[in-house]
Amino acid sequence: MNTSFNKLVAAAALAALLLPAIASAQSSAATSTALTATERVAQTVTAQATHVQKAADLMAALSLKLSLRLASSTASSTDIAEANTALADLNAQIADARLQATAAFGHVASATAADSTKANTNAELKIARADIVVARQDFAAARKDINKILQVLGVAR
Amino acid sequence: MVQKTPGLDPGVFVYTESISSTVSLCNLMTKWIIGVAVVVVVALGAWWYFAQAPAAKEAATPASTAPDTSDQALVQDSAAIDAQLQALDAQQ
Repeated sequence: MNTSFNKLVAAAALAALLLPAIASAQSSAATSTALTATERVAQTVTAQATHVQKAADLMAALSLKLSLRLASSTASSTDIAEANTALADLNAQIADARLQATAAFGHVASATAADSTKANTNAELKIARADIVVARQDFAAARKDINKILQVLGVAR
Repeated sequence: MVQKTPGLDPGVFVYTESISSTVSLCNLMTKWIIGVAVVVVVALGAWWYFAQAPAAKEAATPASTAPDTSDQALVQDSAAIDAQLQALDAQQ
């Protein structure tokens, strides 16, 4: 009887110790889940914008090489003119993609600002995603320009 | 500086005066030597500083090299761009 009572007291004490900790963990988990939804989107857009910047840097380096090759190319003047047009468009697409990435970074910063309201956060993230979409379109056009120039230069891929 | 002590032989005065003059001369020479040494050290430091500055500036400016525009380099660059764009697409 006495032993059972001791076990009961021990169990009650253990429960008193553990229950607040469990409740606290559940509460913080719920909070972090709510935060993660917004933060996850912000992190994704930031990662995408970083990829956009890297891709733009790579394309800019390739653009320089393509311009050097075109300058010494022996292709027909018509082809060279087409390639130069494609090169100009390529540089424009790269520049716009960089602008979109910078804008996306800015909108993510506004969305994650401490004083940002929920509505503002959602709106800013939506705009940031739209910036990334435009950057993708820029790159799609830029890729076609690169292929066109490589074709004129006779570079097999 | 001559210090006359009453009751001492006059020769001692001369001796004392001689020592005093020698000490003054040594002090003066020491000051000159230290002064010249400071000037030399400062001059050498300035010379070393201005000798190093152009070399450091040259080292900070990387030598511009012509990019590799071979077919292989262009294909590799295109592949790197494709990989980057695929990474961008993977970040949905």
